[in-house]
Amino acid sequence: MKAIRPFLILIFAAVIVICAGCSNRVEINDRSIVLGVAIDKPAAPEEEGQGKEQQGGTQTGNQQNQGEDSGSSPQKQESEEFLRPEPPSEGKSPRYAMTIETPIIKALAGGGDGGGGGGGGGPKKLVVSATGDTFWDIERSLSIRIGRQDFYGHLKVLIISEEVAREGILPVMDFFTRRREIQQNIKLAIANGEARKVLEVEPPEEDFAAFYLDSMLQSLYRTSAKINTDMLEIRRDLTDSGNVVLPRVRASSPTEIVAGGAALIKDWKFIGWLSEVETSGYNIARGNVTGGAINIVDPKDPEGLITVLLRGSQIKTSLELVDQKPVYTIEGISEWDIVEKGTETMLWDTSYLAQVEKRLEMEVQRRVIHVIDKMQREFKADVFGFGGMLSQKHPDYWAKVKSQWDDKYFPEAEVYVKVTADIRRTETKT
Amino acid sequence: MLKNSDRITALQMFIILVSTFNAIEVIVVPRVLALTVGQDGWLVLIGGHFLSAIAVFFIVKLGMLYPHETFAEYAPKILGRFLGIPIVAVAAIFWVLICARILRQFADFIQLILPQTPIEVIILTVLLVAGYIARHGIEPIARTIEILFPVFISILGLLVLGSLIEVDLMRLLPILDASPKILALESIKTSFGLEGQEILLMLLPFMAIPEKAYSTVYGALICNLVIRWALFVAVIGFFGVELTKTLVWPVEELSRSLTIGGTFIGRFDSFLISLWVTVAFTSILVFLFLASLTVSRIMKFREQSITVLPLIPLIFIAALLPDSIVTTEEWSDYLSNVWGVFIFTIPPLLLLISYIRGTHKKNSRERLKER
Repeated sequence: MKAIRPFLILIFAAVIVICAGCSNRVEINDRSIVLGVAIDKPAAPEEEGQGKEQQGGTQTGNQQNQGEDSGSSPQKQESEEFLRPEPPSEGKSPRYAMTIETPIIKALAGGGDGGGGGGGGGPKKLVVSATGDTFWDIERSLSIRIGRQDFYGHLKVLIISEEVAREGILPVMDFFTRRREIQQNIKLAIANGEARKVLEVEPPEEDFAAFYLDSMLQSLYRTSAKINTDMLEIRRDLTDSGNVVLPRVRASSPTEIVAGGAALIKDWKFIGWLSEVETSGYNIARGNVTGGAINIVDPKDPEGLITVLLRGSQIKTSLELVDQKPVYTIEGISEWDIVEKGTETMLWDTSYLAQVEKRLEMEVQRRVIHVIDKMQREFKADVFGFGGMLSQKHPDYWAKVKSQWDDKYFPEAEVYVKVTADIRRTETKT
Repeated sequence: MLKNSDRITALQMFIILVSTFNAIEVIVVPRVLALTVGQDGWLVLIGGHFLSAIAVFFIVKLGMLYPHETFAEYAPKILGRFLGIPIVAVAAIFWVLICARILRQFADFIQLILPQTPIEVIILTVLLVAGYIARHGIEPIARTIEILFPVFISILGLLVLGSLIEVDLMRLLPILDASPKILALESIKTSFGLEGQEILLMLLPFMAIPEKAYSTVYGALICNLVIRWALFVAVIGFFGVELTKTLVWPVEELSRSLTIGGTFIGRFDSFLISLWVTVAFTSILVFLFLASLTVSRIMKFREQSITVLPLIPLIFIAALLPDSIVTTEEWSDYLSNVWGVFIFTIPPLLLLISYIRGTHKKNSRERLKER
């Protein structure tokens, strides 16, 4: 016994070394990394078989109904003792079509070694769709279209088409918030048109539409006409009030994405678009603005325009109950630079600058008031967090109005907007 | 291996207490509180810890009357063998069940990360490792926890600090939204849920200086209150009450959502989970040790280590009893409520009877004679 003991220990150690490891692992070359997901309504069945190869780079899988080879014949009616399950619903079209954008790693690796100039490689990305009623269902049925296991850990953007959003984004959100591997800083956008088209875009500057869109939605300091939120903030807003403002995207051409404007979600359902100016007003009201330019008419020359650029701003919303009615005051200070002037007027003059500031304040306030007005009158959706503020400061009052806040009390709430503007610099010219 | 002296310092006791308090609850408590009392959870935490402080006072007081004996030895002396031994046996059964419950909740959480690993494998691996350490007595357990604890606390601290940038304290308003009755009820529940306060029943005689027990246990309660508070404020301030209600493991979700300095430190969850696993493991370890110690003292075995292995299959089976994660939480609620009643009634009762019968005086006289 003593003699074989070292060998036993050795074997034991060897077994530990050999058998240890992660039992759930999937090798990187068995994975396809999903960068973007688009959710659409499934296309009509006639389209089946179309679109094998489109626009050089993009490979597309055709959309098919599931359960095509379930060979059950409904006519056959035998005397059955037990209840037979109904055959899979074939006549009904599935609820969603999910499209994923995934890089073709092989093509990427080859292109990288070639020193960038190559370009002779095949397609760099794969855009595949599958249909189904729920997203896990679709995700699993993707495995009959792609050979690798799809991995969502690096997901960047989720695009939902207007049609789907109109029916409600709650079922869509669940898959992307329940699943642990999905990061909660992904971007969510509503597509004006077909969402798949956005992922199919081949931007010249970037290999993947998802990355392109992600970076586009982040640069809020360049303009306030778009929305920069991530999944976490959206979830917060949605669970608090059910209302949220999401970025609007569309594919304007096969190589171009436009991401200005916003989509309004009320009670988890899409109800309307906001234009770029309205989006800017919304951003100012929420205090999200970090940059952006505004044109105003030259006070001395009604033909000419002056452009001012935002350098910094601070917005504060306060709430008071006056005669059992909430009164909100949005107060703000902002600093601007004059960056462009298409007129001959001399602006090196404080009284002139005061006039410009006055107009600027009017313009900013007009934008904010317009968007608040639109929310109160047209959409009846509180997206400014007014309800949440009321619940924090006056919980008793909130308990009374809670159930009818969006439809009755929010439209009646008084909102005052007071934004002061200061012009600080004029760049290099007078 | 170093020889076991079976004595632990006050600091080690403190660390054992805090780790045991924070076994599982630390990552779910914000949700439980959000579901019942919303943003008033921080008040409930104070109330719960205050009640626990009262319960712990009696436990330590009782233990100080018998500074060289454990609960399993003095309970039969106070109540007589016929009443005393069943009560100790009940405690032993509860410790087995609590150990199984922590193990199961722990395994449920690990399955989130390793979805295809069978739960039996996770449970058994942890149990066997815990069994190995528990066989060596209290001192190696204390040293194990002592090594892991500072890292865990610093990770939690980093998590709370990192989330501060996005925490909106307005989300904790309005104060006193829930009715006082619910607040009181939840405070009691929180106090019952603080498993770990009772470990002093068994571990007091192992302390090198038992007189430090009061300061140690109150320090541990305050430290635990601060940890829970910080996490509660961070989670509610970060997610808001409504979203927190929908999260099974809010603190884990917080660690996952957090990015420090843009994208400088992301995916914080990998740190948290790896360290939290070790801390949850320590409380499994402590309860396994408690159960085995109690059983061996009832049976009057000279060695505690021989009762560890027979308990492992019991705990393993008990951990597999609930069929889903929801059942687990429901059952563990019952468990901690019943156990809480036990902990809040039995030690004061024993203390009272001990004073009436003067058992402790007789006992110390006998001990002196033995010497």
